[in-house]
Amino acid sequence: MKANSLKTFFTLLTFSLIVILPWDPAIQAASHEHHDEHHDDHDDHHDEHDDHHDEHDDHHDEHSDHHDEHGSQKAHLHGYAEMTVAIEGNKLEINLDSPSANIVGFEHKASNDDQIKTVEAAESVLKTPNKMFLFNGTNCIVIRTSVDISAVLEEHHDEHDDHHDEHSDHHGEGEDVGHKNGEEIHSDIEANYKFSCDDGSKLISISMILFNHFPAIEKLKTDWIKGNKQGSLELSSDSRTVIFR
Amino acid sequence: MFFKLAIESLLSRKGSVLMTLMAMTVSIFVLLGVEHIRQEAKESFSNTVSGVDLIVGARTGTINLLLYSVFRVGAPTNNISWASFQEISSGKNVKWAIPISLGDSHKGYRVIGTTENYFKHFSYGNKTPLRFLDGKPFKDIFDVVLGFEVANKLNYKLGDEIVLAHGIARTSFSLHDDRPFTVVGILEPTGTPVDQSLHVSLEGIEAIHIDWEQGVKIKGLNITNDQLKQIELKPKSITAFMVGLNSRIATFRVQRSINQYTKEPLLAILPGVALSQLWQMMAVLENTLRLVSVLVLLAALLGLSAMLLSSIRERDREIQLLRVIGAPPFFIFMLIQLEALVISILSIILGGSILFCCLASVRELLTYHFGLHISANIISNSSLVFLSLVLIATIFAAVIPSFNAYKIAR
Amino acid sequence: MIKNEKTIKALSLRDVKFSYPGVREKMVLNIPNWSIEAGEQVFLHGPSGGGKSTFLNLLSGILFASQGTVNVLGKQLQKMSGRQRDHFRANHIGYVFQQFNLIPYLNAISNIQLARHFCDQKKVGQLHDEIKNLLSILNITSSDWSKPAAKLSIGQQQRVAIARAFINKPKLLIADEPTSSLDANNRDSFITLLKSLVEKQKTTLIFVSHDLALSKNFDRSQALSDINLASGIK
Repeated sequence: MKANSLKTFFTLLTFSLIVILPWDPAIQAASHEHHDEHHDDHDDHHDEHDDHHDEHDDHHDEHSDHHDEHGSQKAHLHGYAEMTVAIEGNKLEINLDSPSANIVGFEHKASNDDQIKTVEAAESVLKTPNKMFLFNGTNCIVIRTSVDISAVLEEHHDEHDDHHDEHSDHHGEGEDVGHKNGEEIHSDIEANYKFSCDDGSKLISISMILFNHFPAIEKLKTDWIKGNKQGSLELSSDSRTVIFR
Repeated sequence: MFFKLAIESLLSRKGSVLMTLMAMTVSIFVLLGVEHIRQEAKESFSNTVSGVDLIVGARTGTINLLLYSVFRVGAPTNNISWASFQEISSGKNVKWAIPISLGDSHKGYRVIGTTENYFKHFSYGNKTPLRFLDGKPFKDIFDVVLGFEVANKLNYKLGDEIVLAHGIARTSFSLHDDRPFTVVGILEPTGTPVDQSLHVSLEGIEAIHIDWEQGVKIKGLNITNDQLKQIELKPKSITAFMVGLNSRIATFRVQRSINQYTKEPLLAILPGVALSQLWQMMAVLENTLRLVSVLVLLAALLGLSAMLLSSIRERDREIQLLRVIGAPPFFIFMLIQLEALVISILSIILGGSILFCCLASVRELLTYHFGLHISANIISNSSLVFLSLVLIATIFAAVIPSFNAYKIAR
Repeated sequence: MIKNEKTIKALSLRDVKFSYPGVREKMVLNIPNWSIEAGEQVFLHGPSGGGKSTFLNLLSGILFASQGTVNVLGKQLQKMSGRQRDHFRANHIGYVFQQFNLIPYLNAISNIQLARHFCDQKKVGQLHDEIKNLLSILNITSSDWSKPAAKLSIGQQQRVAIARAFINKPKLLIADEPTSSLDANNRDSFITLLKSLVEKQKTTLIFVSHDLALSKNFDRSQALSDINLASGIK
């Protein structure tokens, strides 16, 4: 009796976890489906969207729905970004991956001077680790910074013109995030940093002051490794410090 | 005398005091139980795997993969191909990889198909490696290494022959009885699901399934063990694998590249990260449970307060008498406080003992069914903190009746 | 009446006025002057409700007068703190009521021990012998010593109450209608026992009763209404 009801309880618990999990953006981030199978449906989907989302003036929302629907390679939720922090010895590596809307406010190639300026300003912040991170416990010097803003600052985007026809009603621009047939294209901005710390073991926490510059990032899922320890937490502008414990 | 007075006074009101005591006991039981199981479960989960940088399986939920690969809870959604395993595990960053193949069982205990790497690299707790109590790792196709509890509970020793069953039900009718396994090793107890596992080689898993199809034995098809040795028993697929890396700093890069693996949809997780996510999700449940237990305690404390308050009204003359023989009003105040504390302390002792007994009797079931190792030792820093808070709350709850008595005494 | 040689008064009240808070305009007690010599045995009578218990509470320091001086055993009660008065009462004043003299759930011995608890002399070893002694003198059979007080007969309870009142060898004993719940036999033996102890320990006694017939047992007899000029009946 006891064993049975206990088992039932835990089974239910496990089951509910499994049911809840797919709604977690973190998991969606990982759910990578081959786009080819679904590609044919795209247009139909969009038509549906148009009907459903008339009230959405903001085309970004449209996009995020779109991405989820197809279980695309990254959870493309606006306001949501991901970061990984790895510390080994005195080496520190940070990777930030965010939909470009969080960083520059749009999801297409910069098409006018204002937008180009915005992108350049964002790039300059991203390339200045001092404006992004504050290290507590030890001193870390940046060794290498690489920022990939190709999603919002590049020329060729011919392949997906067919998509745009439906979308252009909404955003009026000919530009779009690509769906390059299931391959590695998204409107994400990625930044990668390598640091060398005086004493990696003394690095107790990192404060993400990047929230000051990119207020559009509401949730920053941060996975970290420090030696043996691993952890994950969701940062926001209210709680912006990763503590390694 | 002070103490005796309080005790005798409580004893003279056995009925209502007993009820209050029971309410308090139940609430302390719930409070301590929730807190203890919460902590122990976390501890137990966190200790199960150590030194594994990544776990790779078929694309599913992060936590689902963690649960079935490490904790043997739930069922894998899909297998992954042996080729993918070989390709990824030969990557330059990979130090070692432990393949895992699940799906068979023995008398309710799960069977894991794996390689010698399991015994070499798998560790638990604070990087404690697996150690053999007796025997050695499997070498032959039909060798099996038992987890401590399997050997202990089922009374197996080296050299015993056992039959595995298809599926994970405790009473499976589809036995692989044509291919018994020989016990060649027994592991030391670990306090993790390893204790409840049987470990065989991947070839062994292949071998028992060779004349099976879709979970059913093919009639008439019988391959002898000698023939088996001729056949190449390379597994076609496995359930998941664990990876140790050369450089931890590359973990996220390796994870990303596995998640973007093109030949089949794979999911790589960091066990520690997945656990954190599990805790994050459980936080709501945890807090709800905590809230409920605190409310239960509050109700019991209010009951205590009400009981004392109504007793004060009956004890009007007793208080006057105490005053006449020289008791200061503060004595009366403290007397009521003491009565409340006595009930509280008694219920802590009672609730604690009942919890201890319950845990002691249920822990085997928890271990057996869920691989959860919950110790019955409920004395921890946080439980002591909780109990002190209970005592403080008791004092607050008793202030009203005590003050009432004090007013009568003045 | 026995004339007392001692000059120190056991009790003296001067210009004492008392009224309860909230009903200030209604004076319960108004005693211009009243005193008792040490060792005197005084019988006070008056109808119940004539400010009697207020008067006694004033003497024992449970209540204290808003005006005038209450001098007990040479100490002015209103000059003491509440704590000091409690302490003084525990040490020097014994009390016997009409009923409810004992904590019902404690046995005879514990009830007496409790009285000792609040007083200064705490030699426990002797205490037990003293209690046994007293209880024997008071004709309580040893089988009843460890019964809860509520299980004793009223006569027994009143006698245990005497023992309780005497355990600290008080200089003043206040008995408030102690025999009113007793039948004639018990009453007579109660008074006999009480008087023998009072005389042996040279205790000053104030015995209050509405039963004038008892007055013959005491040195002096007074009506409360003669002492208390407050006309109001509580």
